[in-house]
Amino acid sequence: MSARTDVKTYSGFQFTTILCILILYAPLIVVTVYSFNASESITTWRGLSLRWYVDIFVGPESAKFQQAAINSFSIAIIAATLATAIATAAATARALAEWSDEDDEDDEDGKDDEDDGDNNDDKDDEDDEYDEGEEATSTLEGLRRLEVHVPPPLSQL
Amino acid sequence: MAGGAVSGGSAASDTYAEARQWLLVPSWLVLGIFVLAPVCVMVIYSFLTKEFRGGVIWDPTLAAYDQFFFDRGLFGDGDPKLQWTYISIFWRSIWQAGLATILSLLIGFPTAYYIATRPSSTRTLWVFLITIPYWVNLLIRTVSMKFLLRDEGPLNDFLMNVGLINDPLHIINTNLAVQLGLFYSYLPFMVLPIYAAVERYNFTLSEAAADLYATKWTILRRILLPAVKPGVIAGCILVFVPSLGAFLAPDLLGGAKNFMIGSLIEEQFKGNAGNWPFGAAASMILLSMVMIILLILSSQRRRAGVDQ
Repeated sequence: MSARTDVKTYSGFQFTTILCILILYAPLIVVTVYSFNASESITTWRGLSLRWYVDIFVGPESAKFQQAAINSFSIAIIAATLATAIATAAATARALAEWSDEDDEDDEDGKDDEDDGDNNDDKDDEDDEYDEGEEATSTLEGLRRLEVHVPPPLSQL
Repeated sequence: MAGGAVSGGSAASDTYAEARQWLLVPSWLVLGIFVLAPVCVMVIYSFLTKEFRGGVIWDPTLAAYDQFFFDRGLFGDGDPKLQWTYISIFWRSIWQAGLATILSLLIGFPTAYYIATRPSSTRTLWVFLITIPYWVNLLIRTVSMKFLLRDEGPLNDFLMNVGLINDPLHIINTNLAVQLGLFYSYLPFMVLPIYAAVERYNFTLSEAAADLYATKWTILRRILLPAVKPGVIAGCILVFVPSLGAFLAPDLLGGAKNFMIGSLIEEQFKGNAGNWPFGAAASMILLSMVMIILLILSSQRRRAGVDQ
């Protein structure tokens, strides 16, 4: 049994993963630590202090920082809202295309048919796979009979 | 199979077809205005004459491309000689981006594999850990990398305190710094596609190979790697292509000597000293290079997919 699970693990991979996480976080951690630096210069460490945070929130230039933060947030919210709306519309269109192709043979534009030919093939493959497990087959079949769109499992996309 | 349901389908799908078209309009508009139009502007600008304080004169010419490839002497009337300045910048960019990609692959593949073989409860956490740094602004990440690599920086302090080195390593303003910066910027892009591919991989294949007395290394090379090849190629594309055009890392970490395409293009559009048609031409050459690489790799990827 242990030999079987052993096939999955490679020595050194865990070390590399920890190294990878370390590389990803080291610069960020260093900058975070230095944000508490009391020194005027970023290059020298002169003890802990909150002076830079004080500067941002209540310092003489805090109004500028506040305005910048407000700008960033409003732009981010607008961008996220627009992107969500537009992408949802496009994704819905895609889902509708797949859905109507499933039970509709004579689609007007031949291009869509060609496009979705591959997809249908994929789905057939999945069906074959599911046929081996009885429970999965029956559930999928039931949903299809009810005309519920069954997306392929995420791992197959 | 769903025989009874088909009768109602055709009327419904007509409605879908109409709705579908309207639902796609916003996406097409966004793509047209923000992707297609700017590229068209760049194509046109690359064939125009430069205005000396930035901008273009509407006088069609091939001067920008000519300047890129040929040296015609100080007054522009000498015999054209091949101009190596810009070609070597492009070559260096390809080299730097390639090394950054290899480095990401060497660290990213074991990481992706290790994460994908964790129990599913902790897998999400690992992926989350890999993704968080990417949410931090690229400029901040590059500046912190510069800060870390300085001669008097924390990395050198640490290495000297541990006793590994006696004198600080001069990493900043070298090619190595640029490679490390690019590698650091795009590492998550390498890990995530490979992770997705390994997660899909059927480990019974590895077990079968082990039962047939394959060594672990053979399993990795002959069974696992071919199966996850599409993910590896996707990761390489996602690291290589942005690295090729990057200008933050070479600017901040490489100093003036280690110019890359991105910085070359940026310089042409910045301030009054730039040459817009030349910048546009360099962008076009970069874009066509990326297109060729993508075409080659995507055909490879398709072949890998078929093999599976």
